[in-house]
Amino acid sequence: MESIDPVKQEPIDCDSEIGGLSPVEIVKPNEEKKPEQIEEGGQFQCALCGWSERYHGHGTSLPFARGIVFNEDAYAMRDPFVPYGQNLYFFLGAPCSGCTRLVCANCSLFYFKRFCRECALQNVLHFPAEVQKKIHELETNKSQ
Amino acid sequence: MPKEKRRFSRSPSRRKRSRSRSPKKHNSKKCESNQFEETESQERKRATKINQEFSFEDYKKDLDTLFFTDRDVIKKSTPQYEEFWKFFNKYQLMRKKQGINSWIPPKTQPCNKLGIPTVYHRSFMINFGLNLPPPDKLLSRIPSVDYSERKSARPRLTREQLMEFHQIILLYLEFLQREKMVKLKKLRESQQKLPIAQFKDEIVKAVFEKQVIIIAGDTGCGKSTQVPQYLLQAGFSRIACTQPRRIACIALSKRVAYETLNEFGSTVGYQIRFEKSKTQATRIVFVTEGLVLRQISTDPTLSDYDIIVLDEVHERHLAGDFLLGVMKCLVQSRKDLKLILMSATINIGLFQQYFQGQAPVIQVPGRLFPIQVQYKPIAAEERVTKTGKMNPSPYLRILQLIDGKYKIDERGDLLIFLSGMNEITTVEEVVREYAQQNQRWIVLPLHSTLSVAEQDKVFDYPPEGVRKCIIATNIAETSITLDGVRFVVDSGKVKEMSHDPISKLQRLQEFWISRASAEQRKGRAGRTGPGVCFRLYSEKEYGDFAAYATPEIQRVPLDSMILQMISMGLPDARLFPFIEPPSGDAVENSITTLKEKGALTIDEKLTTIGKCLAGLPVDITLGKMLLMGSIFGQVEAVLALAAALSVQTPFTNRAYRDSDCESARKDLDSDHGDPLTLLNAYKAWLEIKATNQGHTSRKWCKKRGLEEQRFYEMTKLRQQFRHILSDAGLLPGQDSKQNTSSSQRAVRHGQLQHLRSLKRDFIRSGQRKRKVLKLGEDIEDMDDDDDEENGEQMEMPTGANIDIKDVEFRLQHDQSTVRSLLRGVTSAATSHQDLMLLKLILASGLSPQVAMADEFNNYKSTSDQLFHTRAKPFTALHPMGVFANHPEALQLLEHDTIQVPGFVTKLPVSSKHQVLMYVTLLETNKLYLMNAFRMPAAQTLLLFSQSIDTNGDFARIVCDSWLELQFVDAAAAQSLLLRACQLRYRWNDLLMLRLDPNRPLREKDVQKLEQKMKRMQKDLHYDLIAFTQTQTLYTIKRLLAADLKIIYRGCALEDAGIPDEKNPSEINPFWPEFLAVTHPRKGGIQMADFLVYGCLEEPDFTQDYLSTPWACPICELNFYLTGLGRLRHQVQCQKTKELMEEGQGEQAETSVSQTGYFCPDCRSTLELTGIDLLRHQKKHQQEKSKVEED
Repeated sequence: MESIDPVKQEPIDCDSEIGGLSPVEIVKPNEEKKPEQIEEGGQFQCALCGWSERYHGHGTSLPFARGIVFNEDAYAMRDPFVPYGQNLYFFLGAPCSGCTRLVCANCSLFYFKRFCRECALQNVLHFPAEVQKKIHELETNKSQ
Repeated sequence: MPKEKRRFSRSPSRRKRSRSRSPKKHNSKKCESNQFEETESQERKRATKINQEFSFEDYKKDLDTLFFTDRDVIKKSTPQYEEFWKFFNKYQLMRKKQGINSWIPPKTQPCNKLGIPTVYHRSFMINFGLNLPPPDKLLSRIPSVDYSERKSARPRLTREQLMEFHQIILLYLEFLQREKMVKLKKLRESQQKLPIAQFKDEIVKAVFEKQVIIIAGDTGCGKSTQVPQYLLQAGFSRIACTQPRRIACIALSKRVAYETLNEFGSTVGYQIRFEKSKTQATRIVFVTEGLVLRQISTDPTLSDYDIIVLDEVHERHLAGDFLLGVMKCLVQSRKDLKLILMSATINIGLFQQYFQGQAPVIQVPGRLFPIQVQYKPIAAEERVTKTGKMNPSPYLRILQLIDGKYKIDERGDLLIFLSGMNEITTVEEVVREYAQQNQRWIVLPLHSTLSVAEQDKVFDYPPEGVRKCIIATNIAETSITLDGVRFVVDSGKVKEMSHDPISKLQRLQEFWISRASAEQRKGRAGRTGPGVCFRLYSEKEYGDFAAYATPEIQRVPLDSMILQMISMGLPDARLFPFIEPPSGDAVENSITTLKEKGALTIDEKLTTIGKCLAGLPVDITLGKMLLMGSIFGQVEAVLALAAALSVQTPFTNRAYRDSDCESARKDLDSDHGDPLTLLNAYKAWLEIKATNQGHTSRKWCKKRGLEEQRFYEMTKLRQQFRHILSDAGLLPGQDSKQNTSSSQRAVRHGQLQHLRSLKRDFIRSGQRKRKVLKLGEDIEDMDDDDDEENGEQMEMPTGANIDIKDVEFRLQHDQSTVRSLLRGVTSAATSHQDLMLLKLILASGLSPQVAMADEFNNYKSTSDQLFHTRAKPFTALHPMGVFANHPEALQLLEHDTIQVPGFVTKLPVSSKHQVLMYVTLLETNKLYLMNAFRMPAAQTLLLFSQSIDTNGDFARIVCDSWLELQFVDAAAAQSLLLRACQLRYRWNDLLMLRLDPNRPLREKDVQKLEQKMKRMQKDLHYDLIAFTQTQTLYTIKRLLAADLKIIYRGCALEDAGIPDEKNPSEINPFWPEFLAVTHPRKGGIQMADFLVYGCLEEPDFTQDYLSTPWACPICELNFYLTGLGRLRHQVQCQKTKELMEEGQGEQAETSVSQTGYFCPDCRSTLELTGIDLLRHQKKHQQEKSKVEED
C-alpha cells in the first residue's frame, strides 16, 4: 500500500468524495511537514487582529477531534465549552494560502483555500460573486 | 483501486480503524464492491418509487450507526446530538421554502489562477469534512436486515442521501463553530472592557521587577478574576490566590477556568478545607486563607508556589491578618517568592507602610455608575415606637418616595441594609402590607439564617412593573452580589459579634458602621446603572463614623491562632509582626486558655495535646472533644456531635414559630440538652436516609422546620473530622473495608450508574435557573410548592427536579454506610451509659464552661430561668434551646432533697444537683447560654475543674474558685474526690498513650499496645459511668467575690496550717508522680495541677476530725489523722498488704505506725509493725473461718 501524504495532493478533482473534502496544498511556514500534530500545542496569534488563544493542535487531523479532517493546516483547540472527551473542537484559524501568515477565522475566509482578508481583497475579482460579497463583509466586520 | 484508496485513506491508522469499525468483515475488496453495485441498483429503483415520502427521520437508527458513534464529532445522546436534529429539521424546512434540491458538491472543478473553482458552491466554503470511510463502504455498514422482510418496509438509504446528510452535518458543525466564536469573542471583549485590563502590562511589569506589589481596586474592577490570568499568561505556573471565603474560592475558580477556556480541565482549581479540585496540572489554585496557613505548618516555605496573591486583604479577617504577617516573614526568607496584595481602595496607606513603602501600588478605578446620595436622618422621636421597638416608618417612606418619583417602567430594585433579623422582620411586616396594597413590590428578606432556597429567591427577576425590595443584613455588603439594584437604603447600623476575652463572652451588638462600609453599601446601587443611596443618618453623623471597621483580630478569641502560631515555630505571639497587633490582654488571655486546655505548658511550650490540637483545623474546644472522643469507643458519636456543633443549627425559626412544625419535631427533643437534641435530629434524618425512601428526607425536614442542607454539611464535616483524626493516627483499628458479596456490589454498581446519570441530567439542566418571581409569591406557603415538586420528581426525575444534594449523598454513601453512620449515633441516643460518656466527652472539651441555676428559678417555661457562669451572673436560656421549653428537666425535685439531722444549712441537700454546661455565651439583647446540656454537679466539677480546693477532711470543696460543695459525709466526699482524681489520672494516662509520638513500630508491639489501651479504655469507661452515678449528699453554692477573699487559709501563719504541711512531699494518693508542695498563696498542699488540699479556712469546731479516732479499713487500726493523713496511711497500708500477699513481706520493713493497736480478738494492745499486724489479723481470720467450718 502506498501511503499518501495529503499535503502533496493536487486540488483538481473533488469527485464524489464524501464530505466534499477538497484536499488543498497546505502551506506550513518554517516547519517540517508532519501529517499529524499530536503535541499539546502552543499560542495561536492572528497576524491581522492580534487575537491570541491557546491551541491544542494543528494539522489536517487533530488527536482530540478524530471525527474531523481539515482541508488545511487548521489550528484548533478542544471545545472549551463542553466536557473533555466529546470529540468536539474549536477552530481558531489557519495560514493564509497567499501570504502564509497565520490568521484567525474572523480575519479570513475559506473558499477552497484559506485567504486572509488582505490577500482576498487584493484578488477579490478572481472570486465568484457569492464569495466577493463575503470578502466585503470581512472588511466591514473589521471596521466594526 | 489505488485512487479510491488515496481518497479515503488519509493515514494508515485511520485505515485500520475504519475496518475494525465495520460490523461486517470483508475478506476481499472485490467481493465488497460487487455486492454494493448490486444493491445500489436495486435501491435506486426503490428510491425513485417512493421518493416523495422520504424522510431522514425514518432512518434515525441507521444514521446513528453511521454518523453518531462514540468516535464521531457528534455523539449520540449528547446535547449536540439533540441540537443537531433540531437544526436539521429547521434546515430542511428552509430548504423546502427556498427550493434548493440537492446539496451534493459538483464532481469536477475547473480552477483559475488562484487555484480556486470559478463556479461557486457552498461546500467550497467549508474547510473540513468528516473523517469517514467512502460512501459505498459506509452504506454497507447499515445493518443488513433480510431483504425479503424489508421489501414491504422502507427502502435502503441511497448513496446520494447519505452524502446529503453528511453535508448537513457539516453545515451544523459550521454553525456550531460560528456560535462558539461569538461566545468566545464576547467573553474576550468583556474582559477587555474591565477597568483592570488597562493595567495589565503595568501589573505584569511590576510583578517582574518587585517582590511585593499592591493592587487596589474597587468592586467590579475585575482584579480577582483577571490578575491570576495575567500571571498565568506571563508565565507563572504555580499561582496561589487566597480568599477569605470558601464559596469565593469555588466561584472564582469556576469563573477563571471558564475565562481561560479551562472549564473542563484542571489548569485552574481550588482547594478549601476538606475539598479540592487541584491536580498535578493545576497552575492557578484558589485557596482559603486558613488553608494556606495549614499548608505553612507542613511546608514552612510554601515551596509549592511561586507567586501568592492575597485577595481582599482590606477585609481584615483574622486569618487574613495572620497570613499577611506570615507572608511578610516569608518574603524575607524566600527571595524568589512573589507576593501580590489585592485590596479595595480603602486604607491603602496601611498596607504600603507595612511593607516600608517598598511595594508599588497600582490603583485601578472601579466600574461604578454615578450614585446620588441623599441624607435622610431619622428624627430622634421617630427612632423607636412607643413600645420601644424599632420604628419602621422611615423605611416605608422611602418606598413611597420611589413609587412617587420614579416611573414604574424604569426598572431597578431596592436594597435595604438593616442591622439584624429582628429589624428585618419589623420592616418586612410594614413593607409587605404596603406592597399588598399597591402591587408594585415583591418583598424578600435576606439574612444568613434563612434557608438556602429562600435566600436564592433574591436572585430571581421581578415581573414587569414590579420592583424587588430586598431587606438584608450586611450579608449583602460583600458576601452576596446582587445585580439590578438601583436604590439602596442604608440604616447605618450593623450588628457585630465581639468577643470579651475575660468572660469568654460573644457579644452581638449594634454599632454605627464605618465610612468604608457606608461607601460599600452605597456602591451596591451603581452596579448596573446610575443609582440612588438613601442614608438614614445625617452627613455629620457620617463624618463621625470610624474610617474603617475594627479588624477582626481585635474582637475575636485568638486561641486557635496563637496555638497554630506556636506549632508553626513562631514561639512568641507577642512579637509577631501583625499589621495591627491585637491587644496584649487578648494575647495573654488566649495563652492562659491554652494552658488551661492543656495545649501549652507553663512555660508556653507546645504539649502533646497542643500539637495534636494545632493539627486539627477546628476550634480548640471542638478539637479537644474530638481528641477525647478518639480515646473512647464512642468516636462516631463524638464526630457527629462535633460536626453538628460546627455547622449552623438546622432548626429554623419556623421550627419554633409554626405550631405544626413544633409538634412534628417534638420527638427530637432530648431533655439532656441541645447538643443531644441536635444529635437526635441528625439520627432521625439518617434513619430516613437509610430507608429506600431516602429522597423523602427533604419533605421530612420541611415538615419539621429543619434546614436539610445542614444535615448534608454535618455528614460531610463528620467524614472530614474522621479523616483528620485518622491522619493524626487517632483512629486505630478501623477497618473501613467491609466485606460485600458480589451481588451486593452489582446492585451498588447499578445504583451508582443511575445516580451518576441523574447528576449529569441535573448539571445539564443548568442547575438553578433564575426565574421570574410572581407577585405574592414572597408570601406563598412554601409547603405546597414543595409537595408539587416532589410529586413531579417521582414521575420523571429529570433535570431541574432532581434533588442534587440527595443524589450526591447517595453517590457517596450506599445503604450500608448510611446504616453504619446511623449505628454510630444510635447507641449514644439509646443507651444511658453511652449517652453519659458522650456528655462527659463533650464536657471535657467545654470545661470550664459551667453554669449554675439561680436559687429563685421556678422552672416554668413561661418565665425566664436564670443561670450564673463564673464570669457572668444572670444569663438566660436561649429561647430556641430545649431547656427554655422544658425547664423542668433542670429542677431539683422535692423528694430528691433530704433533711439531714445535725447538718445545718439553708441550702437544699441532695445527691441530684445539676449544673449546665454550654458551648457559647452569647449576648444580644440578653445574655444567652447557647447549646446547653445538663450534668450531675459534683461529679462533673470534680472531674473537670481547673482548680479544686479542699478543707482538711474534704467535706468542703471549692471548684474553680466559684462553686462550693459542702458534703454531709466527709468520708464519702473524700472517696468521691479520690475517685475523681484517679479517673483523671487514668484518663490522662490513656490520652498520653494514644498521643505518644514514640509509638512502637513492630506489628506485634502495636497490637499489644492497642489491646492494652482497649482494656484501659473499657475500664475507664465503666468506672466513669459508675462515678457519675454515685449518690452523695451535698449542697452547692455560688461564692461571691467577697467570699473569695476569706476562704483561703493562706500560709502566713505557721500554726494555722494542718499537720500534713510539715512534710508535704510524702506519699501523694491523688497524683502519684506529682511532687506535692505547700501552695504559696492559698496555703495547704498542692497535690496535683488542679488540686490544693487543706487550703480552705475552717472554723475550729470543724477540725474535730483530728480529735475523733479513725479506723483504717485495711489494717483496722485507729488513728487520729487529717483527711490527707488517712489517705496516705491507707495507701501505705495497701502497699504493705500487697507486698505481704505476694510473699515478699520480709522485705518490707517500714513501719506503719508505732501507735498501739487494740486487737479485738485477743483483747490486748499490741505493738507491732504493719506487716506483723496484718499477719496477726490474718491468723484470727483463719481461726474464725475454721470454727465456722466446723
